[in-house]
Amino acid sequence: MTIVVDTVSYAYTDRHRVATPVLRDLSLNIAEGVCLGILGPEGSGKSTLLQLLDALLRPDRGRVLVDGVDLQAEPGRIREFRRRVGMAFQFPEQQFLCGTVGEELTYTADRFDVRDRLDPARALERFGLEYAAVSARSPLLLSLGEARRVALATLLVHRPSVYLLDEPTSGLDGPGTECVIKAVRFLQNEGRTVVIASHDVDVLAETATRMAVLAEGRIVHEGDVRSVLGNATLLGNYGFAVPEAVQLLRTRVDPGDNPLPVRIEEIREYLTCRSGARGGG
Amino acid sequence: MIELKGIRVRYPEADNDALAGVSLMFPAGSRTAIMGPNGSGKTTLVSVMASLLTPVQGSVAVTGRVGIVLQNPFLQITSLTVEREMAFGLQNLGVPTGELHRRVDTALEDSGLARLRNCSPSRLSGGEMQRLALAAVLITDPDVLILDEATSLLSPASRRHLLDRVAAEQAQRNLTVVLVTQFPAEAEWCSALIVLKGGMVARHAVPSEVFSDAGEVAALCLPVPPRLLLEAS
Repeated sequence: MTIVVDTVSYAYTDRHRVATPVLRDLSLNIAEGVCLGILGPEGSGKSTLLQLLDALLRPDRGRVLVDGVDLQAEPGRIREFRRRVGMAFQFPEQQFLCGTVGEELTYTADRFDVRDRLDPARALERFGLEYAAVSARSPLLLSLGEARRVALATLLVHRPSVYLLDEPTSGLDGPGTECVIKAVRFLQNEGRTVVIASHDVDVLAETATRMAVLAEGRIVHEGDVRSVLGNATLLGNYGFAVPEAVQLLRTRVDPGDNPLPVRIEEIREYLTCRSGARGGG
Repeated sequence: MIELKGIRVRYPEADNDALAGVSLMFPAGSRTAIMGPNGSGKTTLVSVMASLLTPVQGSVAVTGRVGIVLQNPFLQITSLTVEREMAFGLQNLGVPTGELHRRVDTALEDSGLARLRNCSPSRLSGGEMQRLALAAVLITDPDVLILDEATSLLSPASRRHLLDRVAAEQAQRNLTVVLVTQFPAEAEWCSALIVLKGGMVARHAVPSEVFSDAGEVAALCLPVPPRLLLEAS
């Protein structure tokens, strides 16, 4: 499933009809199977962009094309779209519809009669929660971290082709963040498309294959994950720093023009290869 | 200052205590981080400290006024515009109109929300909403400031800005700061770290002591800083 955002603008209008522009002539291509990280200061339009990709908002100008289809022009295809695209909201309690966690987990999959669904207990387990312990509880009475895990697990049950994740690790503990990273890699191995909006460069380094930097409603930079997350000047301009592991690597090696690896595992390998080459030389 | 003695909390229909006999002391002017796995009782603990929740057992002694910034800013923002939200606390404290306007203007500038002053808070982004919730509490000059993962949706630059502001307040007066966080760097900004696990205090230490040992950090279910992950190589 490819998604093309074609010169989209969007503004929020208040009750006095005063418009606050959020996205301005934004264009972006999301290829099938990519894991696109979206980084940007708060208020830059990340959540709005995700909601446009999820067809929860309609562009004021421009088009969002999903496999070449403009849902605004062909509203009859929205059901098929909803089957194939899933989103985890920034505030998980805003997406819960059911009285219990158990019902919540299968709600979307039931609605679309999804046959190849992941077993709800296994989906929860992937996020470190035990089905028996939480399935009868109200999703609205969970802690924020637990609620986020349940919201992400519902996506695994639903099994759409595209996963839109808005700050998926915010409020999660160490093991919870690890679970999200592993889940995204699992989806990537299956060839699914993932879009992650986040402020956490360490998490983006572990998951994203491509990066887009969003500022004041525009994509100001796009590229592969190493070239973006390794670029201290670029990130610094928008209030971010390169991932901590990359900073440490830089204190040990001079990269020259070659972009350094950004994932911890790859950095470890890189260091091992270098010391091996030195030892053997 | 806040002193907790033998605090026990159990939610209706829960099988276990959310807090199982917690005793802690937060001296005036101190800066304490609270960490722990999801569901370990962090939010319950600070809710008891802010008198939002009554424990089934134990006592809470508070000196001064407590301001709390909740994990979810939606739950505490009540006004129709950003400016009115900023003024809400001062109005309740009976601050005279002239002074109120001056302080609101300054707070809007300091928090970078001046251009959004007439916006409905519901139109703000998650991060902007967190900035508003925090600024609207800080403006009332509380004696104890509790931040419950109040920076979780902020960019690193905004997080630093916010901590700098809190540090500046602390330098001026005897402000007690309690910070619930998942960020090791924010914990290291504090002088004490309390780690909760299963409703109990699992560790009470100087933050740098905990964050120098990858094994202990992982055992406490805290995020392991990348520098510790790389040290092995």
